[in-house]
Amino acid sequence: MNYKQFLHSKSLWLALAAAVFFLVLIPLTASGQQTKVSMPENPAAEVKFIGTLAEDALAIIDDQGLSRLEKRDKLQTLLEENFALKSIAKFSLGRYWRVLEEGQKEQYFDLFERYVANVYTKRFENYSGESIDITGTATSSNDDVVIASLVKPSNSAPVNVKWRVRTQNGKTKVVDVIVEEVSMSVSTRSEFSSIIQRGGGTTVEPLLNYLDRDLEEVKAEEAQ
Amino acid sequence: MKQFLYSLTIGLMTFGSMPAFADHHKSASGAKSGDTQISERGYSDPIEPVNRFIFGFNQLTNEYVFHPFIDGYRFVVPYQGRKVVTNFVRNLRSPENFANHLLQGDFKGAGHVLFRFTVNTLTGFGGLLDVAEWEGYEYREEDFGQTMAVWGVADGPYIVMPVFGPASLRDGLGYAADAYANPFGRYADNTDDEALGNQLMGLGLLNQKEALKDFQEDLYQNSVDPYVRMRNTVFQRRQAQIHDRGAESSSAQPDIPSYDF
Repeated sequence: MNYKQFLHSKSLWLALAAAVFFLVLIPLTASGQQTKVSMPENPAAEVKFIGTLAEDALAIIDDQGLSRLEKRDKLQTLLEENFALKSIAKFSLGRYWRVLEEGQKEQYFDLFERYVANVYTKRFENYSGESIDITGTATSSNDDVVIASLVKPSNSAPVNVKWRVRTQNGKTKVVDVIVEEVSMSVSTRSEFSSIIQRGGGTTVEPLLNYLDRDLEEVKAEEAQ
Repeated sequence: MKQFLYSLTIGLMTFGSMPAFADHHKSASGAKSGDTQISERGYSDPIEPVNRFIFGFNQLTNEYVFHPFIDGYRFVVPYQGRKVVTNFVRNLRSPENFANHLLQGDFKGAGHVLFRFTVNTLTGFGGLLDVAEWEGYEYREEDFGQTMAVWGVADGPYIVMPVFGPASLRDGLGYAADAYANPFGRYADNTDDEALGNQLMGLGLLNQKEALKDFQEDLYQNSVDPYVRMRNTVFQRRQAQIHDRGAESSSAQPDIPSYDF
């Protein structure tokens, strides 16, 4: 039969279905339900830092004995210790940092930290059986170290996640997370900027109100 | 007209206007312009109200039509099987991929694409298996929008298309050009083979939606402003594709202050 008849025929689609079915029978390299973090041998300090952070976070998430609220609180503590949250918060306001009044700073930082903890807790709720391979490091232009990792969910495509780590004054903290070449800090800044702009651009109030309302909603949900 | 729409959709769906989750390489050629500092840049958005409306429409169709369907698809077909579909769809786009590498002066990259197409088609059951990947020749994608960017064409305004999703004007036109040039689409068009056109379109759309589902869900549920976050993500992602920034690169760092140190 000619090419056109073949493509029209059921054979092509049978072949495709067979290939799919065949691959179902191939033993999948599932690692079971425990999530694993792998690092290269003799890891550099920053690589170890990320590896440890990942392991600690996963220990909290996989802990069946903790309630959602307890997990969130523990994750928030972990975030506060290992992420430069105030720096990221400042960056996320962009040019509106100057508009922020002294009295609002503490409130903003508090809201930001709780907001980030909430978002990551929600994201990790659907986590199961993933593995994280820490693959390498590269030093970026301003002496921050970027650590490349591959997050491999058990049933979908791997995701490139890069961690930008800064060590200063004896402290090592994550300053940005880059998922598939998209900086989370930059996209957060674009969102915050939009909220502030639409509220007039002269005050950070609309953003603070939004974050506050969002956190109240989450609290209300949890109370149920 | 109908046939043109088929080939258009094939192209737009196969590689889409959203993050393609494809691995990229550091460009071997010097054809790309240098990396630029990420400042508060992004797409210009002169028709934002219109875009927001279409974004809202896309969100509804995603949440109520495409995502539930993808859940079903994932339930029935495990990851390895879905990878087969991805491989097949990507292989079909090899002609444009090849041509765009050449147009950007990346002859080594073009050879890479040709190698992948030959190996995967001949030994990978017509592109179902990505054999070349196992040999270290990973998937690389260049589309006409990237080619135009390399030539110096500016992004143009941000446009959200119904179903197809968002892109800059230049990139949207680039996708359309690639779609029209795709030989498989041309074949379906020229032979008036509607069934083939439909099948190719369906596969491309399925693959596209599956790849984007998790990201879109996260965007809709965990964003302060999903529309703006989408626009910024598309922009960042596109910049990385144009400058061939991949997993190994660490350039283009935003200027994060040291407030906590």
